[in-house]
Amino acid sequence: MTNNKKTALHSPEKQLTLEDKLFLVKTKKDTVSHIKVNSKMCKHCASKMCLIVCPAKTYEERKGVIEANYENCLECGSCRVICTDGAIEWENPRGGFGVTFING
Amino acid sequence: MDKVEVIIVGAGPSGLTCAYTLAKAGVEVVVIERGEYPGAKNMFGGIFFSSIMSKIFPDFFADAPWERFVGKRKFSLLAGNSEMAFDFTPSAFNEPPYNHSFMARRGSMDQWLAKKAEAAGASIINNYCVSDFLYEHDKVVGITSGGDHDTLLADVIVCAEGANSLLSEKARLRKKIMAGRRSIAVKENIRLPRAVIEDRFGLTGRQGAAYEYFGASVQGLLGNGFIYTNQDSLSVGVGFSLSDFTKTQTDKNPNDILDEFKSHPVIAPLLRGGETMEYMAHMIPSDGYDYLPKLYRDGLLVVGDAAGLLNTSFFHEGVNLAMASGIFAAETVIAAREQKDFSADTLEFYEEKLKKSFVLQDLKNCKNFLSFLHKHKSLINDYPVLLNNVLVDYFQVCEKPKIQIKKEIFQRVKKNVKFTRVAWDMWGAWSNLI
Repeated sequence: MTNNKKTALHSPEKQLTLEDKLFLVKTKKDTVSHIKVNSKMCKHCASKMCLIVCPAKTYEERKGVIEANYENCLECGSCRVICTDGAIEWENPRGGFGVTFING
Repeated sequence: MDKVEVIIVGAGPSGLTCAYTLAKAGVEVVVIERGEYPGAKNMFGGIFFSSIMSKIFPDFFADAPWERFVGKRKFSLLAGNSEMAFDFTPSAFNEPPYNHSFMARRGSMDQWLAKKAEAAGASIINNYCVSDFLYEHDKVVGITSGGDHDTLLADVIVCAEGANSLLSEKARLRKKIMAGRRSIAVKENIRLPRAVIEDRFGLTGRQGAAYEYFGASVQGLLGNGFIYTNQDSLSVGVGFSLSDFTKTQTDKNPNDILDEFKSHPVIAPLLRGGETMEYMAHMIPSDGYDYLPKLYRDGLLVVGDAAGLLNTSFFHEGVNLAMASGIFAAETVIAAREQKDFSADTLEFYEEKLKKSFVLQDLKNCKNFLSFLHKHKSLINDYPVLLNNVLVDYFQVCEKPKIQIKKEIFQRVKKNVKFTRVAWDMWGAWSNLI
């Protein structure tokens, strides 16, 4: 009984995964990426902060190359700001494309 | 190429206020928005500070789509699984004008403001992304979306494109924005029945609660977590400094940090039964008074978040500073139009107006806030734990005489911390933070 009570008080709501959350975002996908990554520069980057900072995990490292899954992007721009080498060329998606926040 | 008198890039609070003020004075103004409607790309914590809004639009209170007025405020310190809080429900905040603080959602609020600007005569073009300015010699003379034919010229342009301002960099008003100049915020909109929200937070009618959580709310990072009540949903989020995030070398991403905040034993019961409707992210300017971009050049003015005009201290005021800057930019353009001179020499008037107002005076006043906390992270991480332990000991119920408990607390604290250090930190906190 005590155990149950403790669980009820402390159990978080059924946690949504990041994928679940991204599924909730209204997005109009463009066919061209608004993000370009200069992989040559990334090879010398020790921290690779873009992989961690992105709230949508847009960036992935595959065989030492950083790739941007631009469809996930929430357009906050943190990756561009946190990249000290300027390896991320980030432009806004074309007009009308990208995310639309309802409850911003 | 087509030409108008004024182009405003971005339909947020600063751009739309500027457009409204100009249109009302009979100036031809076009607002260009990259989203499908004004507010579609915008996100804020959730409190619309409306002192400027209600001054320009007296029908704001009766007509605008605000959710709740901020009748209750809570500033909370989390230490491990514990909470210590300062809860503040003054009657003054619960009567008109409700301290000019309202929970809102940007989509609906920015569209309401856009309708006001349109009614005054401004044109708004949605779904158009400005990728760069056009120049003639050194003067900004127009905008382009990249294509050769997608251009529009103007006498003067107002850049109101928000925190992730690419255009102010391209116009060389600032160097590339670095991590020290921005925070990131992620938030969820969590739906709960209206009656549940009102019972859970102790609210009546359109009264709302704004809870800010410091200390262990964001994994020891420089930032905080928050819960704001809408009518039938909660805005729940975390925000923290990007440079501190880099320095900390955490492997948690902002969504992990939000999830841990949401499942904190103090927070989780407040969200119980809620359904996440949306997940969003945005940057917050934290340029600080000493590192603001250049605010004007020939043919160009910068307003709102793009200009770094946000109070980064406890106050978190952004919208009213943005709207004030929009008005000052409009007044400057009106004066420049009379002189038929849109050069930097005339537009300089804008910065003077900002300096004389609360906008730059408040920014100047809180300019050491973040740098002080960067250097004194013990204020966020160690002192809350210390205070919590002292309080737990102080209120313990046992058979020891209280006088002995007090002596023991004193001895233990003396062993762990230097009082001169604490006094010094507290003095620093008093002069830099409050």
